[in-house]
Amino acid sequence: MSLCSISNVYIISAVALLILTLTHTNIICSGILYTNDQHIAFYPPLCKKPCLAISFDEILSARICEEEDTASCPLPGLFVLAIDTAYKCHYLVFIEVQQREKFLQKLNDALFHMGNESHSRKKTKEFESFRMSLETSLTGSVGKWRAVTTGSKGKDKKKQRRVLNGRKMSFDTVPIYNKETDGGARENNREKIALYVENLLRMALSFSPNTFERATDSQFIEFLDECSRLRTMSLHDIDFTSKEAFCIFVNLYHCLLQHSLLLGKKFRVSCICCKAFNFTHELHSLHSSC
Amino acid sequence: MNCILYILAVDGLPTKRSVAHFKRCSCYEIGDSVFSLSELECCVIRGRTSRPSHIKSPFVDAPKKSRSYRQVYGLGATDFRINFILNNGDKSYPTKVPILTPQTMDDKMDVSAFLFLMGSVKIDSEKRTVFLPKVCDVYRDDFGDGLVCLSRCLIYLDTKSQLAIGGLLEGGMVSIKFSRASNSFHSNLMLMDELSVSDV
Repeated sequence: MSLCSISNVYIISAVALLILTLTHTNIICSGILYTNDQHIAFYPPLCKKPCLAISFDEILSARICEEEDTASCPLPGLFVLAIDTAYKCHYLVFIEVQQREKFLQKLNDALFHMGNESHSRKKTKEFESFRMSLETSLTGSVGKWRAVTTGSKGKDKKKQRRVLNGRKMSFDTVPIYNKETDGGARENNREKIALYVENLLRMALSFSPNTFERATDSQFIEFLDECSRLRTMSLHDIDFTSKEAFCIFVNLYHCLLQHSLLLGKKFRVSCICCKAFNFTHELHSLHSSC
Repeated sequence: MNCILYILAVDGLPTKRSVAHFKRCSCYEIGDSVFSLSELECCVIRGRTSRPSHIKSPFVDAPKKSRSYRQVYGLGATDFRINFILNNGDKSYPTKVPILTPQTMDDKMDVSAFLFLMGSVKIDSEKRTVFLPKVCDVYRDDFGDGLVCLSRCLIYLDTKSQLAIGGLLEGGMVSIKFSRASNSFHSNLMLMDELSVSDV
């Protein structure tokens, strides 16, 4: 993977900051502020405002990405820690293993004691505005992929693509097939891809609006993680003239369609619940204004 | 109340106005590339089939800059049944989609064509008119002219409809028109039951 494809990695080092700033990547090089307002906030160099704030209640888990699992990591030799939220995994890269252990321990302690601490509501609200929205977590960082035109004819509206399978980076997922061990058997790889896509579509079609509302987040997160595995496959392993390729892409098309429709539903629900409008200097949620 | 209507229009399921955004921006990263719904449909799956004519919502073509990738990623398939199996989410299409495998592909394409056409072909005996789905008009070069198109659809209809259309054809001129798409979208898709051609 090239450095350009990195969208959610944060580096905790001034040295790394210098290196990566020079490469013009999307990596957010930052110092890290560990607040007691139930947020982790990331500050770009010389900025007063955080570029991202992750609230503790968003965090599902914090885990170490083992070195052997990160053979394809774009930053080899560094130590990776993943912070999992529902729609995005954020990766922190440490120069020293001790720094990572210390950070993880502090974070886990804070998460454990989260419920017991009383905190300033005013400050928390400030951080809330820097939280990654559902839209941003799907769109990713601006600049990775070229924007597409969505207007008709004269109206040249450019919009960012929404990559729906970007929860995990490819080094953090189980590959569909192992290129090193199965390198010679392209036929075998094609079968594995076809089977994987069939299962992915079956999984996608198991969700419906009724079950989706009730479905635990873990079921949907499992589906998102499965989708992330698409990033590990190579298009060169597919014979585009075969029947198998036709089946793979039709299944994939329907899977993406279902995924987009379900998220459309999710957007609608989350918007109704969370969007607030400022009427007469007072915030009313839509529920209260209905 | 206006706020709610605004939000539903902006953030909910696609509408006639937002379908281009929906289909061109919803993407999967596959390997080192990115494919949107419209690119998967128009550049990959329909890579060697005819180009759409007078395309309107809910049909969306790939962005101009992506169209050259038809040469790179276009599949070899030229079967006109592609038009029936590709569900574009509009309510004029069935809610159920099949899972294709190379072994059962032909059978499932026939079943999908049958289910789609049975729900969308309408016959007006008094006006001597047969209404075909809009996709037959948009991708008309895959089907051929009016009567050729009708004959291709005819084989996927039930006996009653076949006899009704046959009666109209024997009696003289038949007018062929194309139904408008509904422009409202399913909230989700479902798995098609394991049916074979003989079942339907």
